[in-house]
Amino acid sequence: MFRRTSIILAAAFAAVATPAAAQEKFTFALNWFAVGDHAAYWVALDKGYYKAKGLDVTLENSKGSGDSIAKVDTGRADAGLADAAVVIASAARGTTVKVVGMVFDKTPLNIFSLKSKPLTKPKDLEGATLGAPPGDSQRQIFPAFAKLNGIDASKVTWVNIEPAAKIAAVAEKRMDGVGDYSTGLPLYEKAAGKGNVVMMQWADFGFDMYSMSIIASAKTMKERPQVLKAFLEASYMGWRDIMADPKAAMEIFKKRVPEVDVELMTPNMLLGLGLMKTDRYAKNGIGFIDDKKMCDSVELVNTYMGLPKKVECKDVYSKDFYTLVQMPKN
Amino acid sequence: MTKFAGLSRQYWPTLVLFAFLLASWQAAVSFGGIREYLLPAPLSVWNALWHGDTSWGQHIWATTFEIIGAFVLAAGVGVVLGVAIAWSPLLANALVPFLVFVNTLPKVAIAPLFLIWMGYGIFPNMLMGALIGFFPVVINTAVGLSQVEADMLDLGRVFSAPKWKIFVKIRIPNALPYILSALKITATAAVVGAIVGEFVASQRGLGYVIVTTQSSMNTSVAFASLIWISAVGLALYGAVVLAAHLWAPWAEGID
Repeated sequence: MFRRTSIILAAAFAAVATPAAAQEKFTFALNWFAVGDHAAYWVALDKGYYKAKGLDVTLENSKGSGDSIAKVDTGRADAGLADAAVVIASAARGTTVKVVGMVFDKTPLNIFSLKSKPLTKPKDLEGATLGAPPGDSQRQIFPAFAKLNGIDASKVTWVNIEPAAKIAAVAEKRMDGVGDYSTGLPLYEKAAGKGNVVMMQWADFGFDMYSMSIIASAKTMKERPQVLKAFLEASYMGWRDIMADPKAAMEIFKKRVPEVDVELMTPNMLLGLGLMKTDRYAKNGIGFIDDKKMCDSVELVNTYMGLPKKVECKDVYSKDFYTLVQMPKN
Repeated sequence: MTKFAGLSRQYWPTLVLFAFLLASWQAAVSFGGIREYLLPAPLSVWNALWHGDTSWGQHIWATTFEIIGAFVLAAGVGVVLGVAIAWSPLLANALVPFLVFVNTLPKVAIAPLFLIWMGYGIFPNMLMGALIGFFPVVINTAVGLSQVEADMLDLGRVFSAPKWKIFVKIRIPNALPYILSALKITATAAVVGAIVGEFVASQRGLGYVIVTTQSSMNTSVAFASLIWISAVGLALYGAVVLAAHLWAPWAEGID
């Protein structure tokens, strides 16, 4: 009797102890609601790139970089998307997340205005009213841009504005301009009319800084480095596929996120790709972090964002999880 | 018993509660290893209040102005509508469903529309606060004006008083405690509305401080701002309680 029981127990134990290929759960916090530069992760998910590497990935929305950083730092997400400037600043406030991959290689920082009162060069900003959501990178790093271009920052009025209201604010002329990534152009044109929207792209005025990046928590980096590496590689493969065939990628995006407005998101996504098809990425692979640019970005934040303590460059990023995924040749 | 002894007797349980919460908060931060940007220590909030570089004066003034304006607007419009409803059944039938509809609209969703229609600043935020806070005043005014003791109305009829005189001499005094009771709710609603407005678009104010410092993870300043907001709200509430004490002392003990 004893023998039979132990055989049954052993069989039961064996049945439970041999799981089918155990998929690692991985939560990725996107920085906002669905926008063009999120498509890569949905593509990677849809095409099974994550699954092939043993990852069971969940993609979730957030309400801005501050939110995604907090999610990753507290363990509610394993990795996330966030603006590098906000990440660096958060390190001064006690977060332990690090930038482990880069999205945009060229800086998308920009100010939108209307044709009726265009803000085309830095000096135009003096005397203007600009709206920016809290945590907006343009707002936070503006002193650096002002110094670089000789703008008297005290003559620029910044108004806090809810993210959902920023496009309407400038389209309805409640404000002279709004700080927002250049990739947002299609959305502003929809509200204000094509040909009515004016951009002031900071990259055109000598401003070079990292922006949208992929971050991971200290915990993920320490306890699951292989998983993180696999996630990054699969995500870059998603980007590669988008670059090779944007149209197919958009179809997958729409399929996975039905509320996406394809007409708006396609140009939005293509503008984002423009920020990634750089020589640096072509040479070093998608998502490559350049040491000098990273440390220059940290210096800008240290100097201009009034942090409680100085952030060391090496504390906020890591290239250990990087895997080369070649950009498609086109 | 002295006034002080009486007050202490009434308020010591709440003081004990607050002290206990404050101690737990400090303990949680000191021993729980909670990150500063998630839950700042009471001491850093204190520093943010008194030794930080936020110029509280202008922010407190802006928000207080919005709150008082919202309160006055809500009270004024609310009483007028309440009187209209109590005076004429026709107006009541026309207005009440519409007012209920307006009241159920989520104001947070309307706030961005306010920005487009009116821009940002003190007045749109006042309007937002008034919009949230006027409804209790309307209802309570109408109820207070209608629910009068039959005996009192009979007395009026005995003296052949015209409708308006009954209204002024009997109904309005009867309604006063109801109205003042509603105004306590309006005081809180005015605060909520002003802050919601500031969250959506603002250039100064305590809500502005919360939203900008929270996004740069400067949580202790955000907490400090919350404390100021509570202080303003409590002051307004206290003012209403005082008004009730002065104008309708016979009705003390309703709440």
